[in-house]
Amino acid sequence: MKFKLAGNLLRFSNFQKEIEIAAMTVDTAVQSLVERCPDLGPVLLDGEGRVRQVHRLFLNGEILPLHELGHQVGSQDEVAIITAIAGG
Amino acid sequence: MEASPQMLLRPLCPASLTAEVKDRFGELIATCINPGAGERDRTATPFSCELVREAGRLGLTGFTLPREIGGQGRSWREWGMVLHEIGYLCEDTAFPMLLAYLGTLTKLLHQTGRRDLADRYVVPMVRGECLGGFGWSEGHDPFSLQTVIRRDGDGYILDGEKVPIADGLIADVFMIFARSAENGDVMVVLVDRDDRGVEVTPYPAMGVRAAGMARVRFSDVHLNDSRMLVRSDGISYGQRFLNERRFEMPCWLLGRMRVLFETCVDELSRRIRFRLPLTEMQTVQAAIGRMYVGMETARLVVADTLERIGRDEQEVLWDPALAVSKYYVVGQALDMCRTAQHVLGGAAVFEARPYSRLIRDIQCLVPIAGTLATLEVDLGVLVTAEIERAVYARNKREER
Repeated sequence: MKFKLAGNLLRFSNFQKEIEIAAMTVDTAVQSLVERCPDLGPVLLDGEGRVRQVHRLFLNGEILPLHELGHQVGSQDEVAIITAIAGG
Repeated sequence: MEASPQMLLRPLCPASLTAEVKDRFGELIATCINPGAGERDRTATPFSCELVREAGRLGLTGFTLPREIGGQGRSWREWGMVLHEIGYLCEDTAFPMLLAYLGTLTKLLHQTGRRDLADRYVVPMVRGECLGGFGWSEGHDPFSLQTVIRRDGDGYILDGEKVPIADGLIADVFMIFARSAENGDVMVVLVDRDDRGVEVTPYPAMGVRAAGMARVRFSDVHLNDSRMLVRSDGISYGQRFLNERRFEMPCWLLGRMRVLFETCVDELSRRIRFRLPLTEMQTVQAAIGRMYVGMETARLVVADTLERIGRDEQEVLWDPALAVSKYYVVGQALDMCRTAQHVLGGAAVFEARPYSRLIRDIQCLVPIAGTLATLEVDLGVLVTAEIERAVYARNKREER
């Protein structure tokens, strides 16, 4: 599968916009992603290893709720991660 | 007066709510807020605790909180409209700003469902007897906070600095976002003003000077476990407050824009140049038209968010429509300030006139409330991603 990153997240992925990961599910793919890009770890995940709520994940263009990260993925799937954080 | 299709100055709120605000809060504003506004601004003196308590007695510090804890039990949509009307009636921009801020903090603490927090903070906050401060900003992005919290036996030790905290000079308790020394995650703790190691100093801005802006320093502050509010992903938790602010600020700011516009046009109609009122000059008429379009489109945007809130459609952490509203209304307010300064000339700059303070207040809203540029970037990224997803889905369908 392929992760697509955008916006502020790019600073933590060494500006790689697309990252190929071999994984069976989205959550194992996320773990592999942060191993590949360690700087992404504290940004993407909270202290308990869960994806922070400020991130939005889209599987093949459809929103993927954070409680459904056990979703299976194949080599042709794309997961986009979008983050929106600003002052009030 | 009821709105009619011919009216250009259309109200944001139903007449019944406008009347309610005048009836319930008009006297407080007329006798306690407006008379001292200029002096508070000159001396950067924050609102007194007595004044906030009186606001609480009238229901302004617990408007959306449940009745069983002393609140008014009203809707968030109604609160947005109340803030708008207060923004229009009062001569101190810091007042509706402070009310909105206190209301959100109290609501967040209430939503924890913790009895200890209800007794110690929420109920007194609803009464206006305890004020909360939101300690998020410190000059770094939320992934790089320098304020650090570390375990110490059964409790925690906090070190760092938050600047500015909008009502820091008068707040009794601070909601502080700090990076965990153990795992780098952001935690949220409650720090009382009188905790040992807390130092509060004035940090006045160019406007909204009665809010009580402060720098708050934490040196080896010991906190027991009951002060822990959020143990993990405090960054996301903070977005709840900021998201709400993006709804409420445009509401009260639109009220302040109405004041600036109406005062400005009234003055222009009474000033004579070459035997004619300034409002007879085409360039001035065009400027008034521009200000009106900015204000009316801002009203439409705010009205749309009020409807959205009324239908409970908003996203809790980062709602695009609320971000658009904040971005747009602040932008229009800033444009209105510049246009008003152009057409008013010297009248806009003197302390004795009503404009300079209001213009300074409005100009403060960019840095204090998070830069508009950040919202631009976030909205740009999100909408680009949405279009990319739509194209991707269309291509997939066509492949099938």
